[in-house]
Amino acid sequence: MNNRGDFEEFSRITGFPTPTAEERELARERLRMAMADPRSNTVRRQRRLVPVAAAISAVAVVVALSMFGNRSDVNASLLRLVDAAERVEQVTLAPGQATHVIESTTYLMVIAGDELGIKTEVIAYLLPATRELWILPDRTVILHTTVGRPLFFDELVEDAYYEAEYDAVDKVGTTIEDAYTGVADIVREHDWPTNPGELKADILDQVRQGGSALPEEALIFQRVARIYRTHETTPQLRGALLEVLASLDVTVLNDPDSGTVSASISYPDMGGTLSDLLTFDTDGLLIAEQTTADTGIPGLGIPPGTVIASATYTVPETVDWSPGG
Amino acid sequence: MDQGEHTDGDLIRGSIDDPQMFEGIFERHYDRVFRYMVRRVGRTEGADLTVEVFVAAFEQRGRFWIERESALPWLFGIASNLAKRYTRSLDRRRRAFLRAAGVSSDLGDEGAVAERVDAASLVAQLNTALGRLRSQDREVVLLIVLGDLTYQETAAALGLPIGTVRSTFSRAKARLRSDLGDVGWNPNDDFGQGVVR
Repeated sequence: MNNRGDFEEFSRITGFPTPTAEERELARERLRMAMADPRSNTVRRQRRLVPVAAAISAVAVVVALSMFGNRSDVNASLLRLVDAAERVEQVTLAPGQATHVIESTTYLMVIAGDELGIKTEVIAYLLPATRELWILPDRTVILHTTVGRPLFFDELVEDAYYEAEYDAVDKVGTTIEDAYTGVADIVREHDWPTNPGELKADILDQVRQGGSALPEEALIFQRVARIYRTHETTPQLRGALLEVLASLDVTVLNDPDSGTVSASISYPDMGGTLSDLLTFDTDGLLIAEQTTADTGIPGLGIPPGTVIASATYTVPETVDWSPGG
Repeated sequence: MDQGEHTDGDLIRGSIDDPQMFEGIFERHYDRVFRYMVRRVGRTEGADLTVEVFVAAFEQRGRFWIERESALPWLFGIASNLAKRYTRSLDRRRRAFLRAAGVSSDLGDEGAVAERVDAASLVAQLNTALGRLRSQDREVVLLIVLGDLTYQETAAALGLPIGTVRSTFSRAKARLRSDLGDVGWNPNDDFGQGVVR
């Protein structure tokens, strides 16, 4: 809603122009003429290259796709990874061992303005965190999360955040220790096929049931990411996931120095365009991902090009683990 | 299709294949855009430019993100650009005319703006004061006050962060209050407390 006082005050001074019936009809006719003009009816949809994320390794070569472009370049980059991924040795944990991963994440937090005592309906800020995981042979997950200092888009919101002592709510600067046993996750709860065609069909089945309004290819892309980031995929499953990615309308970026390959997809969401990016190392392991608000999110005061979610992952390693150590 | 049941996004999406659906956008928003344009550039030019807003919107409809419910910020973004372009072009023509007539044209934007408005003194002073604002500040004020947009809609129309819109409007309000406080129009404390939807 708006406070109409200003508008009415201004109107009192300068009048309140309204169109006459003739003006409106003339305008309608002119618009109809434009609508009937074939030149006005050519709807051009531009396809944009996804910008390289600053948070990931520098990229020297961009393999860009047009709507009718050549997929063989994309295929070549991702399919090289498939071979590498499938050759990685599958690790079997022995008692007293754990799979260890460190994640550095930043996520967009959206809360009601009321929570900070300000009039804005919703506000947003970025909250970084570092997560250290140990995954034990019995599938227990030990998690240590250290929350970092938030990043704000608006100084007024930042002031209100600390005045409301919301940093205590977010546990900024503290390390939270959790342990989960018997946790079901997306890898364990479903028997994902390692045949790429069957895997894609399976994923498509699931995303269609979800009822999301996002484009199907974006949903498939996101499901691939979700499976990958459990850190519990087999080499064969990773190979199949990479082949699924290669079958989508993605933009691929290669870094010849590090050998990393990134795949990205853009889609409409949150009132603008978002882009998701996944980065894989030379063994086809996921080492980074991020979501960028390409056109910004004006309703949340987020400028174009802002990274609203990001994560980097160390390569999972096998470590000795014992309770309390 | 009963257009009354559909969002602007629905109508624009439908107009990709059935252009006639775009008329629904016109019917919903023409009066508001008209009011804004006439207040900025005058009756005749305002009526003409209002049509140009909808024609431009129709031609660009493929770039409108259909997930948005309201096309109003988008339309006002187009309107704001067209109005700015018009007043800049008018000012250039006016300067050229003045140069030809041997008259100093060093009046700045506020001179051109003041020339185009109603002869009423208060209106002229109001527009002179608006003309002294920075371009972005002026656009923010005009969209909120003339277009009756919320901060959120104004931010969407101008592609600005919402925090910037709020702080810009607050600053512009203070400036206008200072300039106009003695001419019978005193923006009170409630001026511009538009609550974001």
